[in-house]
Amino acid sequence: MRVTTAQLYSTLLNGVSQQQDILNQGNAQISSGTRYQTPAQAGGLNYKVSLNIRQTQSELKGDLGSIATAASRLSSSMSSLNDIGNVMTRAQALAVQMGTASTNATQRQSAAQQLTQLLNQVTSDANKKWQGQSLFAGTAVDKPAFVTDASGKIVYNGNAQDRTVAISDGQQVISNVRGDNPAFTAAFSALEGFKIALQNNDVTGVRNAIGALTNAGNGIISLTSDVGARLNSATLNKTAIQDRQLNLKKQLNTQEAVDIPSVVVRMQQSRIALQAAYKEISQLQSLSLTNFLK
Amino acid sequence: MILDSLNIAASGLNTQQSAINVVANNIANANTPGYSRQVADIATLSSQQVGNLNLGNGVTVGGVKRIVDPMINKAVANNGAQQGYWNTLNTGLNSVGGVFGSLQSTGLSSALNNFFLSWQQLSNNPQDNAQKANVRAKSQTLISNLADMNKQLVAAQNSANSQIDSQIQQVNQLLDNIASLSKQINQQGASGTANTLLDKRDQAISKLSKLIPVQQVSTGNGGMMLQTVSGDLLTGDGVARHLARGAATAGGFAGLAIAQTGQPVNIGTTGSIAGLIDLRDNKLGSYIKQVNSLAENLAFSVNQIHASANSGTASTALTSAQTSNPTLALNDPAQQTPFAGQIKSGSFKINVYNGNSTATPSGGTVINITAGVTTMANIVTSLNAVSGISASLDAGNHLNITAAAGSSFTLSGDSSNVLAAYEMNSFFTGSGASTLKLSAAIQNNPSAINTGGVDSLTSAISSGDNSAALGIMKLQNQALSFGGGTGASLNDRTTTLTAQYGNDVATSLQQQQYSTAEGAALTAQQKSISGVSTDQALVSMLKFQQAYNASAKVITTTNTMMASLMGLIR
Repeated sequence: MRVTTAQLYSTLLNGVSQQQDILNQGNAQISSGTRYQTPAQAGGLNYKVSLNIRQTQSELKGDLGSIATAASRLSSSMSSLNDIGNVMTRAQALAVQMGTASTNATQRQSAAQQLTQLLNQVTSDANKKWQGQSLFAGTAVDKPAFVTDASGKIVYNGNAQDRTVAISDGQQVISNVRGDNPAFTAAFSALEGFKIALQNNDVTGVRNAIGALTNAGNGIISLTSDVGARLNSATLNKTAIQDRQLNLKKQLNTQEAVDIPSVVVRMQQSRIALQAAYKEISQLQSLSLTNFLK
Repeated sequence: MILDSLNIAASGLNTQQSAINVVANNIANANTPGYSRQVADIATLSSQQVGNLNLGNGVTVGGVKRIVDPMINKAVANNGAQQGYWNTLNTGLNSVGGVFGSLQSTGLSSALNNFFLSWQQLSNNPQDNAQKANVRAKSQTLISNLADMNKQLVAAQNSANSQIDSQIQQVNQLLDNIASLSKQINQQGASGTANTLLDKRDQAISKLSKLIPVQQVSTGNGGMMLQTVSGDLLTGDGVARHLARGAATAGGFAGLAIAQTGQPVNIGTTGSIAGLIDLRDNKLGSYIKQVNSLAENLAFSVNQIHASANSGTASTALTSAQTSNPTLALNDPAQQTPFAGQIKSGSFKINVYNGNSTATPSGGTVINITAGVTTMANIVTSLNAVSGISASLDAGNHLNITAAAGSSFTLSGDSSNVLAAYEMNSFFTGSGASTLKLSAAIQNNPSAINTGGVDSLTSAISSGDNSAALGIMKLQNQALSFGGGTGASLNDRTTTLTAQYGNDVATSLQQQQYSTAEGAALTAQQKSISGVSTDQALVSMLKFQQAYNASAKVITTTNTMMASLMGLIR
């Protein structure tokens, strides 16, 4: 093939341009630590994978927040339920003590006053607020969960809708305990019955209250255990989400991280080729016939 | 006879001198773009018969030939059209790269993720105004992202369209130039003195090919006819036919036509003008369509849920953001609202509360809608039959619902889509990326964001109800297809759009590199035939110099011979 002088220069210039492009790409990859930064550099599918991983990461971040909200709400509920359980235990002990033949009417009146305090404590626990919202009122969070009705009875004031938090895979976690659960009704009923028996110095009534208080206490313990189990489940969910987050980080690293040694090797090869091209360009002039014509 | 030697030597001197001139011209133009090397066409002069001898008469330069290979030149022109197309497309696509973000800031994708994350966070605490403010902020970022994307893509599309105009002018100038050169070549004859003009015409055709692909047809004596790939005549017989903009398509851009006749012209699928048309209509046009479809699906799907929900408190007045023609059916295509077509037969409920927040009637009042029949005037009449509220159409034909003093109301259970379509109690207003906004109520106060529904039996409102917030949060991965087309989730739409852009850039880059490499190979072939090798030129020069010296020696020798002859006479 006939080769012209301009062609020789043009070929070398193209080579220089290509090697500089390789070096530029290598510098960008090394400085960012990623194989690509933009959809144009990645090609469509690789970038789509990156976006999908990031979307899942965002969803998991939200899920962790939801689980934390549920756990916090359940944990506060459990704390109140534990307190109510303790009150029930104290009321049972009091009932056993007041049910003995040696206890007189004055002692029972005094115990009735103590029981009023216990009842107030249970009411206070049942109307506990978390972040300014009623814990046990369902979604009617701006209302107290329990109120005293016209007959002086403590009744449920919330609604029948559970508070849920959502996890992005579609799962919904119930994050509350509703006050219309029979355990609450049984506890209030047992305490109120016991109080009336004490006020009336009704020994039989006091003895009957022991059973009612025991059953109600067991109901509260059972409800507390249920909340505990849900809290455990939330913790397991949290761990699973954190595991997924870790896996996604690895996946993201595999997807995007640049193989630095191979980039360095490619850049070194490119530098050698570039140096050779520069040398050749400088020598090309001396190889012209013009230099040999005197 | 001795004088003949002088004449022959003189012809040698002249011929070698001319040949050296040709070589000198080649060396001078070694780096001139479009120059084809020339060679002196040296030929012996006719011999003469002297007695029984046939003696030569010397040498002459019959002409100066241009060394070109028409096949290679055509291949280079075709490749120029390919390169023009892919370079234009690749450059145009890269110019909008910023619109699609980077891994550091993924733009729309990240804005959409944050939007849904904010709804998830709100669903955890639906009565929390700080979370509502967060939803408003993230929504505004998403709206702004969509609007910016649309604005930049539309600007790029308009820029591509303007470049088409500018390139049409370039095409017309080149066609004029080619027509003028063809006329001059025709006058001078195809060979000899027309070499420079032929080079100029080849160069003009090469430039033209980068803009639009052309077919060359030689018409003899240096004449040339140029046609588009579909056979439309562009220039012939020294006359150029110009390109111009044709009639605009509905909602689109004007096509190309022959200026003199107005006939639409097909310029093929290569060349930079075709690249600009592809960029404008098929690439940027498709991205703009997808961005707007995303905005449309986002707006309507969120509004569908939001319109039937409440913010934890009942309203005292609501106004629709869309106007209606009260005499037409709600879903009549002539209605201005872009979502009129989504309205179907169904109903919604209005729940009216007294001062004690007690609903009368409990469970609300059903307002029925029959698609194709019910008008906004019918809705107003139905609403006015409900005690505790009044409804009317204002001067702009917006629906207003106002509670009586001490009363309030909520809307719920819209199965007809009428509330979302007329943007009553909506989250967004507008439909496309350029018109999408937050509703005025939410812009003014984030507590107006609806998070829950009402109890279908009692109409009771619960401030901790997060059913609407959960519904909106779940939209992220739900397939939606409002406005037609294949159903796809909002997230899929975003990633698919970015992936399509990435693929388009990758394809254009690959094709650009391929056509550039092919172009380099063809140019090398062209140069090997038509380019000037200074070494070769210098060798030729030495050869002609040698011959020139020899001819001069012949003259000296002949002169000596003549002197000797003259000496004999003396």
